[in-house]
Amino acid sequence: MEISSYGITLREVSENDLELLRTWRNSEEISKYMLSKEYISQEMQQNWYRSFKARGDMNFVICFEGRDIGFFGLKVVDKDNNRYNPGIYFSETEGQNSFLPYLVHLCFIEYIYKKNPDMVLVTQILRINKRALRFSLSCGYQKTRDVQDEDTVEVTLTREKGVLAAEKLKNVLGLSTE
Amino acid sequence: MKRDEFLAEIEEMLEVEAGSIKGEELLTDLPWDSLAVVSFIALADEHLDVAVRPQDLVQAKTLADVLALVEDKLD
Repeated sequence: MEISSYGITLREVSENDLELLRTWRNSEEISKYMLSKEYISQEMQQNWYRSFKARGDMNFVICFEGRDIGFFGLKVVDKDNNRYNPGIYFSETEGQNSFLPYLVHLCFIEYIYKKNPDMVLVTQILRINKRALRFSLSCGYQKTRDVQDEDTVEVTLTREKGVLAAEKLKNVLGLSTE
Repeated sequence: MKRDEFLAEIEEMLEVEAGSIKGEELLTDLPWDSLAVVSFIALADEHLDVAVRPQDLVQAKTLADVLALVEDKLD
């Protein structure tokens, strides 16, 4: 499956992508902002692939201008209450610090809100990851919990807040709805 | 708008100390992230009436590169 808009293509992760994702995920720049900093072995990566397929998570390689530039995933947290946990990283800092994270966000939420309008996105961000926290809040996420033990902040995005923020972002970025 | 005034707006946007930005800094030395990109576009539109294209900011390595996109509107 592929989702495309705003110049971004989200290509569903296949077995062929696992080594690329593992290399990115194990890099210091990416792993330092992850809740788990454990080195990911080939076997662990294979287990992850099998488990996310079984669980029904949605995981994508982010493609822009013909290049694979990052990862975006949505993990099932609580299907009954329609709660999902998003995650995103880019292979290069330049991608992370550009407008590309917003294009990925807009591309995905416009797709997913058509499929599942009441989806709630919930994620925990390390307190030291101020970049991710600022990004999330600008996308309409709201702080819902401080998790002192883990030194994280939980943020939540409802459709109402997400759509409102998306309209503002599209206006600033000069994007029209696709 | 005067260059110094616009730099002060950028300092406020990036939440850095007033007077600390000179305009030549590497973006990697500043808290320049995706939100800063979006905020800068909004700032240029609001204060200088310039429509900066986000694609143009991708190439920028220094704050001077960023300011060059709005140079014509700064005194």
